[in-house]
Amino acid sequence: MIVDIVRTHPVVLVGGVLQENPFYVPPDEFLVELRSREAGSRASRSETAGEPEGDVARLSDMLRDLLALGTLSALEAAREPAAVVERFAQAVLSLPFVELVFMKVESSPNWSGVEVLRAREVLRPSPSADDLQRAWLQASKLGEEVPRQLVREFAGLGELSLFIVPLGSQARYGWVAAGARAPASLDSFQRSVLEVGAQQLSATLRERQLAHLRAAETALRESEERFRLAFENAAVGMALLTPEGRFVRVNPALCRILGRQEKELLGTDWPSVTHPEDVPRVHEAVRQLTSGEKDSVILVKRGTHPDGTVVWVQNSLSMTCDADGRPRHLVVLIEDITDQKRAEEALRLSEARFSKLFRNSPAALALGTLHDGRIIDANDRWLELFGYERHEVIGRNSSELQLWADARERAGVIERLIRDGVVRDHETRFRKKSGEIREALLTFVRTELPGEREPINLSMILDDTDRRRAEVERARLDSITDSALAHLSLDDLLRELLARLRSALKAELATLRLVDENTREFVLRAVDGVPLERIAGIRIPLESSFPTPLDSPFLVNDLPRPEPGREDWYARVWSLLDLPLRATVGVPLLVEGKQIGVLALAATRTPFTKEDQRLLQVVADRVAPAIERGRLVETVGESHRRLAALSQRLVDVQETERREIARELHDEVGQLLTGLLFKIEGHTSAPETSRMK
Amino acid sequence: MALGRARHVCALFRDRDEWYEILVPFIQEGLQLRDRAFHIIDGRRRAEHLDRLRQAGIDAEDAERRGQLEVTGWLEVRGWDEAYLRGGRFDQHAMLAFLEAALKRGKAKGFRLTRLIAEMEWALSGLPGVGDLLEYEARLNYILPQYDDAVT
Repeated sequence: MIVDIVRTHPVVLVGGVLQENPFYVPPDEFLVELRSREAGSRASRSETAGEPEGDVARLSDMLRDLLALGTLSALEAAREPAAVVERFAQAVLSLPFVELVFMKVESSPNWSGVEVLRAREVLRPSPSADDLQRAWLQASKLGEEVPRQLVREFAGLGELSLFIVPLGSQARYGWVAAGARAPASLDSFQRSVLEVGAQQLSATLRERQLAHLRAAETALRESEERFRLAFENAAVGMALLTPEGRFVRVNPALCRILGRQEKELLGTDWPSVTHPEDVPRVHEAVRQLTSGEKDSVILVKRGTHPDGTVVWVQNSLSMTCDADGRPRHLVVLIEDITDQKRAEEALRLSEARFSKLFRNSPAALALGTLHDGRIIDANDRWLELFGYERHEVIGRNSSELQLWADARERAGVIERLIRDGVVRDHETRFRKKSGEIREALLTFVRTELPGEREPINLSMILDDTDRRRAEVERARLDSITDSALAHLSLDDLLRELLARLRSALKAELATLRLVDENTREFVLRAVDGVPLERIAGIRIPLESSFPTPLDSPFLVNDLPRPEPGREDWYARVWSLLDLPLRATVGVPLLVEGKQIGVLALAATRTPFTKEDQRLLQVVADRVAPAIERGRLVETVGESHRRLAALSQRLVDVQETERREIARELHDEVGQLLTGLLFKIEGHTSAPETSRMK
Repeated sequence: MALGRARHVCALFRDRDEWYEILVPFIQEGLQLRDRAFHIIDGRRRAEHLDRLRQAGIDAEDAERRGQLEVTGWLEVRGWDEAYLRGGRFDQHAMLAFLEAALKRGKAKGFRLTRLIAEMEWALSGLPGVGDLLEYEARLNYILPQYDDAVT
């Protein structure tokens, strides 16, 4: 009872020290406890209350002990649980009537099985560690026993008198067993001290647990509030769905993404706002989550608006489960990635275009690392130009492939590229796989590529060999057909032309034959290399086809000797020239598609080439009209000459005629007429002679 | 610690010497601050009590004369027909009324507050009704917070 009186006072004054009463019970709570006792539910209390009380001094001592235990109230909940238990055990052990204490404390959430066995040093003989271990093993079952006070033999400790106090109702937080060497036993004061102390510890444990629960509740409430705020205000769509896929909760962002009202979504399921082609993947994702196969799934799919508008969304799915592990809610975060998809598609198309352009570019392109020249990619034209297969060059560098005809040249070019970022139209020579050296124009551009750590060199190579050769040919042609020729007469022009051609193409013989339509033969018009007269009489039928037809370009580097006994134009030429000709090249002279002649070269040693033939063709094309014009001029001149001759002849004939007539008139007609006159005069003068006279 | 808002104090002493050693400074301070002192003790030792106070330098007679000090026995019948243990039995409700009236009276007399000291040895005497003591002490915690007075 005295203990209870103490519990009704918020402040205690013991030993001259005024302090807050750790055992104080507020009136509401205390009165409830009293009613409970009256109902007989607390038999132990009644027992204690009914026992005789000691004197005031004893009471004071007891209170001091209580307060010693009560200092536990100062043990803040944040203290280490094991330290709280240890402190309590030490406080109990400091009670004069206690020689040994066992404690077992189990308090959620994180006080898990703190066990303590503490004995005073006064216990003699002092128990060994094994003794204490065995004692604990025995004592660890004490809390399950009904008797509060018992005497028991402990291995190594002898017979102990123990008083067991539960911590919390039903010993929910564990128990404390305090004892001493038997046969001593605790009186009601001592038991009260322990009980009140245990109550205090229980209260501390309860408070701690409640604080934890409150904190957990607060945290949960705050978490729920945060979740609600995050849910409502999130920029990304969020939804809670049943495991079957029906919307339970959706946020405004999701409504915006799917173009639907909240109530519309809550009345429907996920597949119905999903593009039909993506529904199977939705079902598969949900299956993976519900089966536990995966904890979370990222699903990119298409969502649909009521008007059919398609939006691309990235969904992050996870499943929440109830306490029994059954799927409860599907949690989905939905992000609108339509713009991203469009950008990706545009990028993909752009890359595809670039890739296609790169691959199919008529220019030879290659990508390589700037510093070591390692080839990353090369297009078909490049491979064709160098004569490699793709797998032969990718990953290898230009040195290994010996692409540069002069390997030292690369360093200078790369130095310029690093400095200027671009090198344009660099004239160089490169080596094909076959070993052939070609001339080229190189353009390098320094750039960066995603995924490549070092700078990239985009190179475009233009095989310049043919162009340069063409330029040479053009120069040769110009040297042959320059404007000076225009001032020459046709014969002089042809002689000069043939001389230049023969010199340029290193031939022994150059001929130009013109078609004679009347005889249907090629008639030699000009020649260089031999006197014209030597072969002037040789005419070649237009239809001749040996050794080659002459109505189209020809190139023969193995001219056959005429067979013995042969007497055609070919045999006659060989005979008249007496040269061991081996090669001939020629082209027809064409004017408006009509062949007017043939231009040909022949050589004894030099084999002719297609280039020679092209050059000859160009010359022929240039000079054919001039030849035709010249021939026409000649024809017209001849006609004039013939006309003038005819005119002269006509004049001459007329004069001759006139003279003849005059002579005839004088010599014949005049004489006749004179004779006639004399006759007439004679006739008239005989009779009429006188008249006549 | 200093006395805070909770002024219902349970004081335990090993003996009478400790009683006076600890409480006399409390009483002296109150008298100096013109607080009223109201002591409920075993009436059989009233003279001893006043003597102890005098020995401690308190002019108990003068304080009593001025109404600043009032010492009464548990069973003592006061002028207005009230007693701590009226009729030799413990009536918690009567006692609560008695205490509240005593505190009000001090205020009515113009004292700042009353420092009330009540000995409880009688509670161990097996007096009729003493079983309600716990309830009485608990209920006292409803009343005292309404007053500034200290009750020991």
